[in-house]
Amino acid sequence: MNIVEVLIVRDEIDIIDAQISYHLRAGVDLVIASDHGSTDGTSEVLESYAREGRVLRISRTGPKDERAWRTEMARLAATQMGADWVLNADADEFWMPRRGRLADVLGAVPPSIGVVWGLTRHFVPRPEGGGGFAEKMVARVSAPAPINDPTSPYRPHAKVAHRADPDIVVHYGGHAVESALAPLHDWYVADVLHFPNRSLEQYLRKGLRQARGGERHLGQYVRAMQAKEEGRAESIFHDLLVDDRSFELGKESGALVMDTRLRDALRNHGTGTPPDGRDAGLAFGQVADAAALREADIVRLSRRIDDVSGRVRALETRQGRRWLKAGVA
Amino acid sequence: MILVLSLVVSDDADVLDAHIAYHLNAGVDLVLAAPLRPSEEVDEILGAYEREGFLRKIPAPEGADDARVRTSLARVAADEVGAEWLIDSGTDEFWLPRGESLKDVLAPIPPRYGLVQALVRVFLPRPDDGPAFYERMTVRRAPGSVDDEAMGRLEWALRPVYRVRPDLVLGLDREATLDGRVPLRAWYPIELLRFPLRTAEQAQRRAARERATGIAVRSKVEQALLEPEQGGPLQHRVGQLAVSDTELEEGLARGTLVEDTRLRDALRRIERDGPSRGFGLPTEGFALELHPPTIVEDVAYAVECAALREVDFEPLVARIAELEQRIGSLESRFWPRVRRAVSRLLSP
Repeated sequence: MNIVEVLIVRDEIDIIDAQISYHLRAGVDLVIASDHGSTDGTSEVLESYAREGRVLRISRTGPKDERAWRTEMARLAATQMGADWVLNADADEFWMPRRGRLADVLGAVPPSIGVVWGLTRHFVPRPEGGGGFAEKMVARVSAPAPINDPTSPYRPHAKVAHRADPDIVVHYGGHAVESALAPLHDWYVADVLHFPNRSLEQYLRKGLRQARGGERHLGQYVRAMQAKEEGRAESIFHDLLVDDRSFELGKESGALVMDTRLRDALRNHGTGTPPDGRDAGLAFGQVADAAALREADIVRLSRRIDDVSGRVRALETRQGRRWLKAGVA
Repeated sequence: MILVLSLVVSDDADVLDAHIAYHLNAGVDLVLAAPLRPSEEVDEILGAYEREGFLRKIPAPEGADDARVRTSLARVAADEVGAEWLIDSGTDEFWLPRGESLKDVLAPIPPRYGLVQALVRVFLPRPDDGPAFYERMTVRRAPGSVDDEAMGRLEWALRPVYRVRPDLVLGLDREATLDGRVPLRAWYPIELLRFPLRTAEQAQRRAARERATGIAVRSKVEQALLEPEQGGPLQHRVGQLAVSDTELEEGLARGTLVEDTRLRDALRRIERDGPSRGFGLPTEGFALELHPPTIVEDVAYAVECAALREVDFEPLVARIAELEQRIGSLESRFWPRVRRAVSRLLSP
């Protein structure tokens, strides 16, 4: 089975090497990466993997067009790279199969099914200390109800994987696709371990870039930009950090859990042991998080209905005015 | 970003100074106040803030009802002040942001949302033994308990904050308010701390006023006090409703009551001795020191928000059906026009 991962990256030097090497060990055969003008050494890391034939780096310039780029990469995987499955990821996401390697879980998907999802699990930033992000960030959010705050980085969501399809359209964020392939909802092939905020410097860089030049001015990025402009960046990032005391409180209340799966996988890197996402203690959390995602999706649906309702109302008002005008005339 | 708070003020001197000072410290730029039969004391408080440029008094239109007065304030906020967000407040309501300030939580709200909602917390009356209301009233019912003040009533549990538009109309019922704007549903970035019944005298004044103008009940405790079918003299009922120290202790132990000192703590930080104002303002170096919630607090809050069930599957199906009907109606108006236009074109 040939598995291709697609990525859009920009200045991700603190995480990109771990991200790619992890996925190659987890069973990904090739990474196609759109490199959007990185200047911090990310391009060089991608090139080093490219020389080994494990990464196809596509240099991108101009405004970001995520839907078009993701779609192009997914189609390229289908038409020229011989992909069987395509995974959508970001540089801060790690697809951790629930059992065995990625090829095992994707191989278990019935042939009639073509689109599956990985359940995103959010990790919180921890105070600065020794070691890379995966050594520090072992506290994961476990919310029994969805955090529907549009300015929170911890809203429930899922990332999509699909069989190769030369006509596929991948949506913004890699959460959904348009395809003739049949989807499988409510069962997740993997956890997608997500490390959105890792250090003050990275939090600000990403926030400013997305708020100023991003396609969608998501609330969490606007908040980072405001913090920077008001000289409060450090205090705002400090509020996001989960110190030891908060971690203990969070574990007691069930809002946070200790999850060392990525840390262990990266530590085992030299031993030849493939990553293993199994952990009986986390099983209930997966069910609860999946339920929270379903509730969050209903809220998203409701917000879309509100949007449509607003548009219908605008049409009704416009038509009413025309009638009134015609009546007066 | 300009944030305006509008107020209709009558005889609320016991709470007014704290109310205005708190909101100016929490990020409000300007208060628009429509005084209706104000007492001398109320006039003095409003005047003090007006002289310093933090408040504008707007005369209520002659003979206007409550909704028209509030709408007129919203129009001033839109047309004359250029406000982006408007908080349409009562004097006993304190809008507590889940962030460092009200602006801090409103600014990052994506532009598609024309309205956000605040989650209401009703504070219960306590024996009136002298101190200000915010020192005494630090008790509310535990969220989700059967006695929850707003249990099962979305119009009691949630209050809107508006992104300002020139055609803003206030005083509508909940459904009319939400229709035509895209509300941020299922997450409430502001908590609204309400102190509806503070002393026996204030409760009596309020009861008299609302009997004359129509009862505006928005919690079980107000219902118990104000609705005409409740028996006994009002003063007696206020005494009965106040949570005694023993009841408080028992309620805390059973988990049916919670202590919430956030307003008290915030106001203590800005208290001062002054001839006209009892509280300091940011321009004088005072600060409320509000903090954003931690992720642990956010998770607990998410459970409370979900318990309201503002968004549920069944009502969504009903809303889609209603939309289909409206679109059908638009289509039925549209096609006859197209047909007429085509036939006009084709006719010799």
